[in-house]
Amino acid sequence: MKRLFSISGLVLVFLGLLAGLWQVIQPLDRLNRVSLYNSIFPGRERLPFGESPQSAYNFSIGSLDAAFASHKINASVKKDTNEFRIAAIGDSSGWGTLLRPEETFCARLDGMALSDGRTIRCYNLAYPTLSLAKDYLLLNRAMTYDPDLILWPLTLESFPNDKQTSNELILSNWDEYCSLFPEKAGEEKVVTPLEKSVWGERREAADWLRLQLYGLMWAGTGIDQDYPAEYPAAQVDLDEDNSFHGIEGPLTEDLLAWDILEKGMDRAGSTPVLLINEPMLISDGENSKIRYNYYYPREAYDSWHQDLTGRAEKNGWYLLDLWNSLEIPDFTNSAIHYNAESALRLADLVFAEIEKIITNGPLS
Amino acid sequence: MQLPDIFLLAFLLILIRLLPGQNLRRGAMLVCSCVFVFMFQPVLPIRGLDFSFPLWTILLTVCVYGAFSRENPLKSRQNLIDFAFIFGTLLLISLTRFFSYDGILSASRPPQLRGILPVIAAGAALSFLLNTAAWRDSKWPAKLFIWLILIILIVLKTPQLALLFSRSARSLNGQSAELALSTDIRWFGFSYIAFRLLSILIDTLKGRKADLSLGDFLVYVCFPPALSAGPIDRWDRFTKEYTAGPKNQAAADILSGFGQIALGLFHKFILADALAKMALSAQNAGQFIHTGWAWAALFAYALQIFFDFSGYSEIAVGLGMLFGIHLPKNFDHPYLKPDLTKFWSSWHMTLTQWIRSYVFNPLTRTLRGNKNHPLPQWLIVLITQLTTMLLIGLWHGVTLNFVIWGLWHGIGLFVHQLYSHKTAAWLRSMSSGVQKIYTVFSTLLTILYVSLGWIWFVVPDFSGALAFFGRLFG
Repeated sequence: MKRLFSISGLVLVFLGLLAGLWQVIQPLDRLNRVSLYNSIFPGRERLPFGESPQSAYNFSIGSLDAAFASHKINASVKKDTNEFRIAAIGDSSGWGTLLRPEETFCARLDGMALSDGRTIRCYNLAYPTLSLAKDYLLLNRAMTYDPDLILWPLTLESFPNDKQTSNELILSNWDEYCSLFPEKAGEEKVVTPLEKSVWGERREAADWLRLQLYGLMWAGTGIDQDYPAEYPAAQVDLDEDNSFHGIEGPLTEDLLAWDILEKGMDRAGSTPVLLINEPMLISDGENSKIRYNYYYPREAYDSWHQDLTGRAEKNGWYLLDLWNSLEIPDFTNSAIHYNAESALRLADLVFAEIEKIITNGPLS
Repeated sequence: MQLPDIFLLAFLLILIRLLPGQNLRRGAMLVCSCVFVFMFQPVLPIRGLDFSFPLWTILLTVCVYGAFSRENPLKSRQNLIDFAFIFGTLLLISLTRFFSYDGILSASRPPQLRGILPVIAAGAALSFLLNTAAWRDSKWPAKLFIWLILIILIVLKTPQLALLFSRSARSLNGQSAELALSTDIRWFGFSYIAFRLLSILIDTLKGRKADLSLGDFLVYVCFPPALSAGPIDRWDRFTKEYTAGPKNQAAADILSGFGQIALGLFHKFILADALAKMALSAQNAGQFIHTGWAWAALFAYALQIFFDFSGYSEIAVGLGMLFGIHLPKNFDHPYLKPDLTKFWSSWHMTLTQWIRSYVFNPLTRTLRGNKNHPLPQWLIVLITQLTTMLLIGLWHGVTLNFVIWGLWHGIGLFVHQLYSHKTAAWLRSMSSGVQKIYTVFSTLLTILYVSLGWIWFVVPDFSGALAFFGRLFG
């Protein structure tokens, strides 16, 4: 019995020491920057995201450090002399929901030869969440990789003020958000010692480990999302509803986060940004006279569209307006998700626009 | 067995061990065994089946006892007490339907008492009947139960028959037969329960006297730590230790037990579960586009299945120790063995020992016994190896790929036996240094052979398995 107690005591002391060491060292931040990707496993083509890890070999990890460490861009900190580096941010349509990694418009752009002799290296840094604040976080990270051009696909649904922080990526990286948006952050969140303990951080640590473990299946299969054999097609028959986020009719400036877009353009500095008004489904079904699609009433969208075009002209932003460039059959499971053939067509349109910027713009 | 089950069981086993008096301990253990048969049973989509399977486990055990026991249960005070404990527990579990709409001690809400009581009564009556003077010395009840258990095993292990059973059960229940799946029929622990029941039936048929009480027999068959994944202990060894009661070394046993449990938890819930995320599976076998990573996934699976299975066995052994039962070891570093014969002597050891005792040895004796038309030695080895490994394959499931997996190992064992017979003298003549290099090489070759064999085990269809072989070697 004495031995039982002494061994139990030793185990407790060992666990206590481990917990104390964790509290002192706080290893999670450092751990998240370490990755088996880009060394043992090839880097991921797009940021980790998913809700069915067992079939997607991928899942939504909260830490942006861990996400970027697993991305192939992390292996390319130094640019090749002949490389024209593009960082493509944006939402699920750019990330490529239902598309294989090699089918996204970014992947299609990758390897294209520019007229000035450089070769495009396009890094897909989009993340399937609709929020300009999230885009800003990604853009801010992308800037550290010295891109020659930022591609920023946009859609109205990313603009409403109430959408900006109500997503997991922002909440998981709240400190970073607060440092980038001190004016919006409000009161500082108090982190308790328990939250920073090995117990409090166990899920984040386990997520980091899981991400590394799924590396083998990613490397072996090239699969990073669940591809259902069947899915409901994007809605064409729509509700008789003219409201957008509770607002009827045209949108007013104060409802939308134009300031974040402008802040993003400022953050890019001398690096050109090509804004892309994302293609969307334009319905011809029931109530299509009121709404374009599931997301947008015509009046709201038109007012935003006009505003975006006007701001681009006024500020001298590059804007590629592709809002009506695809047909209904080109869309998959949502009004902003398109198929692989459409991604290829879009890549050609974007490529032509990049050539224009190179020839006539600051890149010439 | 999930983590909460393991901790609950650990707590209860220590508690029962610390009870004063052997009779009280045995009674508590009997109740605990009955209850955990119900608690471990997973929820099934067919109404009432997740209550029926545990109930049938207990009634089958009681009836098998009636079939082999030489002692009239009615005349034994101990057996009458055991009967009271068993049926009292079944009644208690049945009554939980009045306390909850979900199951408290069972997977789901127990059916109505008027459906359960006649079944319990029939089971008890059959057990007594089989043990009446007229049949007590007859061999047919034991034979009948051997066949019954084999038939149940075949139905459970054959997807087509399980599907048929599921359809019939659904129809009888007024549920849609179209939704039937072969996986609807998951009888928790039956694969292991069957081996325990068969061993005592076969032994008593051969004339061995099994002098144990009903309660002790039921605890042997349904010992909760070993219910989910073995080990398959021998009834004589188990009951001897069990009836003697725990030795006065509770602290040492508890310490060793928790050490084993900790090791098992680490193997199962950390190593195996982590490896599962990168291991070959039925789902990913057809998805590989890179050969190197396909090999890595195959070896990850080889490790995953080992840590998963050995982890469960270690937990079972550890839990047994908490109560004072020293269950046999099931794995002994199988991947470090230099040949396939030694691999099978250290992988799922209790299963291979069972098969050796009840299939391999009797079959070898039978084949050698034919003095008029003696078979060549190599043919006897081939037949016995193929038969035993085929049976082990079929025990995992009556499918083509499990048959091939069994034959893969049967042929491997046969070839190794011929090879080792012919090269034994040559090997002995080698220097110790060369022998060491040879051992390393043969160990790696054994790992490779076993790992390639796992493809038949993990990929459910023949063409999928062949395609994966193509990916590895293509």
